[in-house]
Amino acid sequence: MKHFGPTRSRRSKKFVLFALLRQSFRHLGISSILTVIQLFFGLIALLVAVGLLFGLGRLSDLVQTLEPVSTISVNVDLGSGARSDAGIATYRKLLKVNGSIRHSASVQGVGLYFVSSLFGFVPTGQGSAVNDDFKDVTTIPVALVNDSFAENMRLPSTGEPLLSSNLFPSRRSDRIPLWVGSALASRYPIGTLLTSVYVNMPYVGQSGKLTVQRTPCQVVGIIASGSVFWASNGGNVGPDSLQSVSDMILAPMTLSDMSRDIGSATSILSLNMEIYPKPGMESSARAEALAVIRRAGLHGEASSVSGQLMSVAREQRPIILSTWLVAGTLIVLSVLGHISVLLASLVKRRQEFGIRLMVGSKKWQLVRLVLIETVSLYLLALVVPFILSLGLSSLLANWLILIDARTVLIAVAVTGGISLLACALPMWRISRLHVIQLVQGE
Amino acid sequence: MYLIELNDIKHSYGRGEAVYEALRGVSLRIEPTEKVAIVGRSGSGKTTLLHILSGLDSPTSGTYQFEGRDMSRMSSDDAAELRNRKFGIVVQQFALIKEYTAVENVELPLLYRGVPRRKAHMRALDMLERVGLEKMATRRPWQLSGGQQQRVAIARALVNDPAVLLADEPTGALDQTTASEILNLLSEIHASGVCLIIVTHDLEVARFCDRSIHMVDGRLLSG
Repeated sequence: MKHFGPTRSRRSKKFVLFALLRQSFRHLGISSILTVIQLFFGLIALLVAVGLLFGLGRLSDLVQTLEPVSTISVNVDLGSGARSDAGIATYRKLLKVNGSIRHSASVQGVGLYFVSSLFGFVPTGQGSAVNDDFKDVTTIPVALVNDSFAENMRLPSTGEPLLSSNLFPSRRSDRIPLWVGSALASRYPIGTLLTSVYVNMPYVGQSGKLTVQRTPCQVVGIIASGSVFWASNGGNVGPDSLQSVSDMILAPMTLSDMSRDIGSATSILSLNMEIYPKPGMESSARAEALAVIRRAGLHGEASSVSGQLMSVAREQRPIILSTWLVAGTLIVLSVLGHISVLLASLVKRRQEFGIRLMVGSKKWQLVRLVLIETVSLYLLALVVPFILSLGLSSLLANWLILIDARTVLIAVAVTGGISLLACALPMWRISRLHVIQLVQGE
Repeated sequence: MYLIELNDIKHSYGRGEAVYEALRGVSLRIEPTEKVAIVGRSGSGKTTLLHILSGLDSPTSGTYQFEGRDMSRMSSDDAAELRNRKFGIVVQQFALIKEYTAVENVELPLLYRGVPRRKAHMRALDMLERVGLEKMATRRPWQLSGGQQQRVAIARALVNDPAVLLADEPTGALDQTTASEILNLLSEIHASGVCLIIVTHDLEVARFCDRSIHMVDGRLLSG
């Protein structure tokens, strides 16, 4: 018989993983595919859970970072025009919140100019400011006032309806400047000025059918109209601009003063402020802002950024818990599945192991075989989630789930450890197998 | 020097009152060129003796020398290596891995010996050719008849060029014609210089050997 000596050499390393996978699948069959699927979903869930945890961790870091310059957002709903004065007063008080080092504010309001009502639209004013510098004030027509509105409004002096015939000269030629002014008002700031001046003129002088006493408010109205133009003409209007803007808000209010009895001619709809308190004074500044709003009898809130972030964290908590629960369940199922598959394969392969031992395999070689097969399956279950996680990372970031290299590594390490633990029991069983029992198939 | 030398080998299974003594002081010597049959009824201890001879099991007491080396005190890893190099084992139910092809089954001992896969494959094909199954190399066990499966098992047992071929009821699962063919094959193998030890309860098979050792209740009656 031809003799082959005991030549020892290293086995080809080419396609080793592929060969191992092929071998694993050949022995474990459909069970191995189920194991891979279980591991796959377990790993995905774990990625999400760890990603969420890290996402909130980052959020927490962010809050810590922002704390020294945290912002208090004040949103006050001012409602009807009757509250406008309260709104202005509140705004001024909020500017003086103790500990605040910087403010920015925006206001929105609707001013019912008499002239506008005649032409069927209501100009709204909105302005914004950083500290004392209001930079952008515009007046735009936004809403139509219908006839029924005008008819229901009664002039205090005569009790007549708020109709153009009662307010202004009936001659068409007298109305032309109003039309032009209103048309211009919708496009150019100069139009606002012309309209405001022209509209207020009757109250200062002779107003045709309507006789209205001259009051200081009317004078303020004239000045305010100029302020509106000034402010709306662009930008920074100087150190007194705060007062100017207040006047801008007051300007229609001044007109409404005259017609208070006819209802809310003017309203500031909302006041939004950002208050930047000094470090360490966030809580007291927020409490003070809330107290100001409460004292004014207004509806509003003052919330800090950290508070908002904490609120997000609180909202996320059930999601995190449920994700951990899902991940934990999947991982447990995966491990149980993995163990059961390996144990089942062990029972199924008892005779094979016996045959291997019979032809010269050592027990540690059998243990190594099972270990490598397990790891191969695990690697297969790992590759797809790993690739998916890269694609998922940007998508999940929208929900504060950060999947980065650290997340992936942790998930891989955890599931890898679990996978190895899962094969510990089968390997221990193998190490205790008795060759005779195996060979005899007992 | 004897190839195999057993002195007062005893072997028992179980513990306490459930102890079963399979071998009760077996002493035996076998030459390298012998063709020996170990004959006995079921439960006589002949298969246990074969397991101890192959190093698959260790005796409870007594000494076992193989080519002068004490196998009774050998570690399981050393015994596995010796089994791989010196023993070929054939069992009644063929013991083939059903997921593997015939040639892959035959390759297995070579791979455990460290022979490169390609070389092992060529050698396995040679062995299959020797047992007349070169055309069945890529078939799996369930695609082969009983006789063909036993030939594959014999090819696997011989592929490492063993000193001893241990056969446990090699014809037990075969019809008479096929059994005769297998015995002829074993005879050829013995003729090529391999010591042949057959465990059987079949006296016809025993007659095929040069020497018969009869076992009853774990003891040798003759040999």
